[in-house]
Amino acid sequence: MPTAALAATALPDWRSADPTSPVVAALLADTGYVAPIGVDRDEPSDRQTLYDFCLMPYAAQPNPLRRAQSVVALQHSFSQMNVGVQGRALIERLTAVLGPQCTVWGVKNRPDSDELWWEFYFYRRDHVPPQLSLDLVRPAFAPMVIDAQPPADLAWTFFSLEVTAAQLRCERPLHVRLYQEGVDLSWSVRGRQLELENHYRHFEVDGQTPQLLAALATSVHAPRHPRTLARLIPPQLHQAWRIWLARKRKGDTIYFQRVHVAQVAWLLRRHRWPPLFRLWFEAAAPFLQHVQFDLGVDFARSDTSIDGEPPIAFGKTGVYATF
Amino acid sequence: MPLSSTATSAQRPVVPPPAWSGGAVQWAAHEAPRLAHSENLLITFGFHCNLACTFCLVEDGLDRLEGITPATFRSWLQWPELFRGVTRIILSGGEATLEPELFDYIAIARQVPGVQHIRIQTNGTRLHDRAYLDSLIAAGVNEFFVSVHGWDEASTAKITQRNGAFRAIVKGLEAVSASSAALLTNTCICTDNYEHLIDIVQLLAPLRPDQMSFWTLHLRVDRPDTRLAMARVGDVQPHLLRAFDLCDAQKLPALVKWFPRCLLQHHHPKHDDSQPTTLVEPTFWPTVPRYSCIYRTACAWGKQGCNGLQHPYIEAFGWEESVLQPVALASLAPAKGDQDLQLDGQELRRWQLTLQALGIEDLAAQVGWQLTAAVRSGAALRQHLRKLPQDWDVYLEFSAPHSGPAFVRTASFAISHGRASVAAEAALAEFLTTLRTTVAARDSGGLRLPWHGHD
Ligand code: SF4
Repeated sequence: MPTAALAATALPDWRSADPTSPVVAALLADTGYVAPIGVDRDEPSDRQTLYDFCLMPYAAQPNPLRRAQSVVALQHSFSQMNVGVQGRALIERLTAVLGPQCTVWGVKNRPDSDELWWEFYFYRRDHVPPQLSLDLVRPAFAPMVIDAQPPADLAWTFFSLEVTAAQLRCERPLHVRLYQEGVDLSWSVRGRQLELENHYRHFEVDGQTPQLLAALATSVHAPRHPRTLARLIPPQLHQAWRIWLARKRKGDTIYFQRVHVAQVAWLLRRHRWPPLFRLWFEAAAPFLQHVQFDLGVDFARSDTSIDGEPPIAFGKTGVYATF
Repeated sequence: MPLSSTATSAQRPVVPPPAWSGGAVQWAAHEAPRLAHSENLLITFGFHCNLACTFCLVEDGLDRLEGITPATFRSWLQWPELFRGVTRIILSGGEATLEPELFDYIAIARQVPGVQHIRIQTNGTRLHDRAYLDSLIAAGVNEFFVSVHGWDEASTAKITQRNGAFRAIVKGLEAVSASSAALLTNTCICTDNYEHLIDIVQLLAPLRPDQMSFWTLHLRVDRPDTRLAMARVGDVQPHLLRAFDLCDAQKLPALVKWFPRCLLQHHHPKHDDSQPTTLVEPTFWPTVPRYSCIYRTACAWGKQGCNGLQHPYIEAFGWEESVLQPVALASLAPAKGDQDLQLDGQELRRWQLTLQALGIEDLAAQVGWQLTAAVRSGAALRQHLRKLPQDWDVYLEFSAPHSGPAFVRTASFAISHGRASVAAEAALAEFLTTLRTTVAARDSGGLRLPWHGHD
C-alpha cells in the first residue's frame, strides 16, 4: 500500500460531534431517505437489542445523541447509486414480510470504484418467522428474477441474495448463496447447480488469538512478510468481538464482527470508498454510535510489492448491519 | 469548550470544571465533574521551548496552544471534589521554566487539598541558576523530572537541535541533585539513542537520581514516522536490558513506558504504562497514538496494564507477533492452577460491598437476573448471574482498568461479559444496557478487586 494511504491512521473522534449541527442534520435529511412502512429513520427509544451480521443480538452501545437506524446508511448507498426508490421499496417489502430486525444487509465496494452493491442475508433465528425460505422472500425481490432452485436436501441455516444497481432495475437475475452453519460452508446456487464457494472459521478476539494467527499463517493468500498480519488485522480493527476468516478459491476474506462506527469510518477511508459515501458516513456516524457494525475485507496475494509493503491485493470490502 | 488559541482573556468565557473520566482526559466543559482516577494530575501550559527535540510530543502546539491559564486553574479550587485523591500535581506542557507565571501555578497547586508533591517536567536547562532553582523549591516544587535524551554533547545537540544543550542540562541536573528536591530523569527511546541507553545511565548514576524513566517515543506529530525516529523493540531490547542491569547494580530505581512488558525479562516489574490524569486542550487528543497488542487478550499482562505497541509502530513494523512473548493467562493465576477459585470469606464480604456500591444486584433483580457465585479467574473476578426458569448462567468479568476490549469501563474496573447462547444474550441485553449507563456513574474510583484489599 502506498505510504500516503498509511497517513490516515487516526480513528475519528466522534466525541466532538455537535448534535445540533445543521450540516449534519441536513446530511441525514437530504439522503433521499424517506421512512418506509415499519422502518423509522430513528431507532425506537425502547429498542436496546440490536443484531449483528450473524443476526445475533447485542446490547445497543451508549449514544448520547439522536439514534439513527443503521438502515439509513443502506438507504444512502441506494441513493448514491441512483436506485433510492427501488432500494427503499425493497427495504419496505422485506420488513413487511419478515418483520423488523430480521434482515442482514451488506453494502460492498472495491477500492477506488464508485460502484456500490449489496447483499441481503436471511438467517433462521428465534425471532425470524419460522417459515423463512427463499420462496418467502422471493416476492419481496420481485420483479427482480431469482432463478436459483436450491436442492431440497441441502440443509441450510441461512441464505443470501446479491443485488447490484442494475439488478434493482430488473436487468439481471440475482445471485443466491446458501450457507451451512454447522460445517461453515457456503454454496453458490445458479439454477439447480451448486458450487462450493467458501469455508468460514471464527475466532474470539478474547481468547483465540493463537488459533487465528495459526489460521492466517496457513492461508495460501497471505504472503510471508513481517507486516502481513498488521495489514490483514490492522490495529484499528483489532478491537472486534470476533474475527472470521473465509477461505475462498481466489482469495480469502477477513471479517470483523461488532466494531464501532469509528472503525467503519476508518475502513471506508483506508479502502478508498467513494468519497461521497465516506463523507456522508462520517457526518452520520455520531448518530450511529450505538450500532456495532460488521466489516469484511477481501484479500489475495499479489505479484507486486509497492514501497516494501507485503504483496497483498485488497479486493472488495463490505459493511454490514441489519434492519 | 475551553480556550481557543485566539481568545483573549477578556473574551474568554467562564470555564466550567473539567470532565475527568479516565487516563486520557479532555479538558472539556461538563456539568457534573467526575473524580480523578489517578493520584497524579498533569496541568499543561506554557507551550514554548528553548530546545527543539526531533521527536517532540507537542511540536505542533508550541507557540500556538495557550494552555490552562492560572485564572482557570485557580477557578477549579472552587470544586475541591475535583481533586479528591490527587496527591501529586505535575506542571508541564512546553518548557515550564520559560513560563513567566510558573510561580502562580505552583502557588495554586500548593492550595489543592491533599497534594504532597509538585513536580515540574523540564529540560533542565534553566535549573543551573541556583537562585532560580532555590526559589522554585521555596515556592513548593519538590520534584524535578528532567529530560535527558543524549549521552554527550554531540548526541544531545543532534536530538535537541541546539548546540550547548548538553552542558546546560548537565549543570541543571547537578544543581537539582545537590538540592533538597527529588531528581527524576526521563529519556525518550528513539533511533538516535537506543544503542546508548547504558551510556545515559552511566552519565546519570553519579547524580543519584531518585528515578530514571525511559519512555518509548510516542509518535504523535508525524504520521507516519517520516523522520524514522521509532526504533524496533527487538533492537532496543538488549540495550534496555543492559541499562536496567546497570540501574540495578547502582541501586537506581528505573522504569520504562510503552515498551512490551514481555521483552523485559526479569526487569518486567519496571514496566509502567500508566499515565497521570492529563488536562490539556482537546485538540491534543485526536492525534495521540492508540496502543494495541495482537496478543492482548491472550496475554496475562495484556489484561494487567501492558498496552503493547502504538499503532504507528504496528503500521511501520507490523505486530511483531514473532518477537513478543505473551505470558500465558494461567501463569498469573493463583497457585491452585487455572481453575476458577472461590473467594475467601473476607474477599467475599469486600466484593459484596463493591457490588452494593455499584448497585449491580438491584439492577439485575429488576430485570429478573440473580447474582450467584463470584469466583477468581486468573487476574479477573467473574460474577455469575442466573436467570430462571431457563437456568441461563452468564458472567460479568471485572478486571483492573486496562485498555483492551471491555463492555464498560468505570473508574475502577474494566468490565466485560462472557458469551452465552443467543437466547441468553438477548435476555441479558436489557440488563447490560442499563448497567452500562449506570455503573460508570456510580464508580467514583477507589474500588478494587477483593484480593487487592481496600483503601
Ligand atoms: S504480548 Fe503484548 S500485552 Fe503481552 S506483555 Fe507483550 S506487548 Fe504486552
